[in-house]
Amino acid sequence: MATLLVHAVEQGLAFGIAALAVFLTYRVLKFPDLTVDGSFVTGAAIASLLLVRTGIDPFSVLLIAFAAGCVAGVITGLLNTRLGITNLLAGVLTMIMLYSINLRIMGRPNLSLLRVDTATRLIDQVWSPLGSVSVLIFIALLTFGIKFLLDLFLRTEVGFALRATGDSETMITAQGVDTKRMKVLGLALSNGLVALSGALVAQYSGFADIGMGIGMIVTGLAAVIIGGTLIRSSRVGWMTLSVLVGSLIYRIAVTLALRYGHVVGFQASDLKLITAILVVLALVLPRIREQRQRKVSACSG
Amino acid sequence: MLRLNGVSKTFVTDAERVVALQAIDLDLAKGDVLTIIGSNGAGKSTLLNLIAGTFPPTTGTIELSGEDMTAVAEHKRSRRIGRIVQSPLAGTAPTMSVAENLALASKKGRRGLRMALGKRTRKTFTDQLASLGLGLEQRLDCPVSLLSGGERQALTVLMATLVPPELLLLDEHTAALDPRNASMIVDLTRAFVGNLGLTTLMVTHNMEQAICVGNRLVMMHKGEFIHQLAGDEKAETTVSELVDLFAEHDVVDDELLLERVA
Repeated sequence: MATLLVHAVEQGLAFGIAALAVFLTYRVLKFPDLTVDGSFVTGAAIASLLLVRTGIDPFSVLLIAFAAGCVAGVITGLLNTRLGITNLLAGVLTMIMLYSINLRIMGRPNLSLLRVDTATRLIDQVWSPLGSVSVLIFIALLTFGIKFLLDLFLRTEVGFALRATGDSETMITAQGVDTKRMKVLGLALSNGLVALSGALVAQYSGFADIGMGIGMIVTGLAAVIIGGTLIRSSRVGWMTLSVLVGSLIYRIAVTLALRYGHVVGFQASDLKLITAILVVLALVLPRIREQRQRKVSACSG
Repeated sequence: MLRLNGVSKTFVTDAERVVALQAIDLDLAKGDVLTIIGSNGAGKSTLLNLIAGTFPPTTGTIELSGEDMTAVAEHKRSRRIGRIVQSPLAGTAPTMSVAENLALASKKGRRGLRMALGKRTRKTFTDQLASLGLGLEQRLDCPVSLLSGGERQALTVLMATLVPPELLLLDEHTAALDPRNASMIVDLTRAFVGNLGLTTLMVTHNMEQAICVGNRLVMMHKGEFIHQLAGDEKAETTVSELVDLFAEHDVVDDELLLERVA
């Protein structure tokens, strides 16, 4: 049970980086970006290919995956801002392009990292005095490091302009900012982080698979929404923390559901259905509550 | 300062062509404050949109301080031209705090990776907010969405003048407010425009405002300037004289009729 929980926390943190990325597009930029389903795999695919074929160390591989993800984000950004394709469709188009590209990168639908020195395996050896939590500590350091860098970025002048772009385009245009460039920048950064997350998850799980990104946007949204209901704040540091907490809770819930779900008749394959339904509920419930409150106040007033 | 040469705008849709603005010429000197009145659809907002660069003119050129701005993108123009629109929601970023909004406005043009909000800037903002007299200096970290319409528009006025623009465009910026807040915003605007000597264009539906604010006035109808007043002539005119002028041009407008009854 304890190992099970450690694994859930490790995954929650590793996927948490992707959740931070979804937070950046969905919450900050107000751009529902579906590219992530593809760019997550791109990160995993590039990392796996480089680890299998070259001698590049597994940590640099994470950075290379980040760069590749940025390129994917730029493509969605340009489709939307320069060619005028709606945000949802722009993301879907890039996602589909990436499906073919990811297959090209891997050469087949699945790449195993069983015989390779991955980042997590190296850490396990080097930090062996720490015992069974060495990998957990490594992933936590990486994820929280990224969280703090993201917090810092969102407090810079450019970061402010990015946040304002999602808030009010009229306002930030009046302040001399090119909202198109801001959107491209935000999408690049977000997909870079998603790809990094994919590269990390692939190394952690020991393989890359063409289907591993399916539903990434929904998983990310689940983390953003769960975290947002638990920790309500308009401060950047608290918001990003809430996303990571949301991701942890989601992973723990998933782990428990997979372990004990069979008691109530769930199968592992039901996971995405359940996640999507949970996200629908989380999106709809606040609105229903609001409407009910309005009705009550209308009657009393 | 600002010069429009034969600026016109025609909107073309599949169904029709609408001439929103007919060849307009305008010359504003530095420090001029021009108020613009006119019936609905007279082309007042179109005129401001063209100057701000929201869309390009069909014909004509727009010059600012002798520089041709006609083809310059909106966000680049807005580094030199300040603008406040009718909706208090449009001028501020709602999920960001009062201080964060001011930080956005204090930096026009190139933005880098410096921290946007330091201790010293917060101090400056506190003093500037105190000058509004609304107690906003106590709510520096409050998200703007929690402010009232009047407070938000006051903040927008401060933001638009934080870095004094070469030209200030006011597009019925008090129309969405209740009378008390509207007069508060007009007073603030006059104070800022006066103190900083800002060249200003102000569109308004309120005849009294149009007379008491600024040194020049134009009346628009069907995309044209139908009457212009300046200096003493403007200062001495009355609301009923303006309404009579509208009537001469067969302008029928509910709000004008209401002004006459009042």
